Amino acid sequence: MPMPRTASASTTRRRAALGGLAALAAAVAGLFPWPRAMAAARDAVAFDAKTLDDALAASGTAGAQPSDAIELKAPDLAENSAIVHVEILSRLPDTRTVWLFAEKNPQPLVARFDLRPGLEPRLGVRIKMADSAFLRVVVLAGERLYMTRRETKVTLGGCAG
Amino acid sequence: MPEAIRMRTALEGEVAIVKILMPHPMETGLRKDAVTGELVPIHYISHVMVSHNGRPVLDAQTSRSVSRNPFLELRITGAHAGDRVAVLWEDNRGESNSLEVVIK
Repeated sequence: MPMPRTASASTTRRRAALGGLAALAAAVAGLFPWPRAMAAARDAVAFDAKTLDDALAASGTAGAQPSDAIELKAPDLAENSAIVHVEILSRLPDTRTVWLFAEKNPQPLVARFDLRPGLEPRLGVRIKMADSAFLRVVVLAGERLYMTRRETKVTLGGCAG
Repeated sequence: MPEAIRMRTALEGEVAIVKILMPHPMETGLRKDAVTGELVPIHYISHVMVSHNGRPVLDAQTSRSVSRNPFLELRITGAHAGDRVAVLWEDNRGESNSLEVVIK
């Protein structure tokens, strides 16, 4: 049932885009400080959610269809839970938004990336993991949601780093 | 004044591989200060934006779960030597920083 949820994700995305464009234009023009409009664009409810199910629901990404066209690279065993290198590659046409979750973190939504034309759907980022857990990526491509997940074990617990 | 952002670009054909390092404590709010034993207040980059020749290509919302001194790698298409790539971040306290580089 991806359609209603997709619609809500797109609405949020457009709001974020408007704030982002205004902020960027102002910043590039040297007009600091950064406009406060940025803060309103944040998907705060999704970021504040404390369980995976709540984070998926709040971000409008529940019910995504598993897809092997999304590549999620991360170590099987991370020696430092404070620095886990993650690479995401989507081969889905018209990839617009990418969400990254660490399923057992105190707030599972790690980041949300809104891609514009001119960016390859391929990102690298370093994250903290509170515990051994599945990492999950949800992609909005066209008007549909797709996902993949993989398990990463960590040898040192704690998200404190 | 936050420590300067570092950004490297490398052209592969018409794709610019961009690596960005943003010095920032990225405090989770869960860590105790080793000396005082008090919790260090939460402090993290919440937005990162990247532009190519002034045109936004990435608008990212980030959380305290991103590592200290956040690292981001991305690929910009249709890129050429002399193009400008800019990055801006803002954190949960309203602090911000930016950097623009020219692709060589």
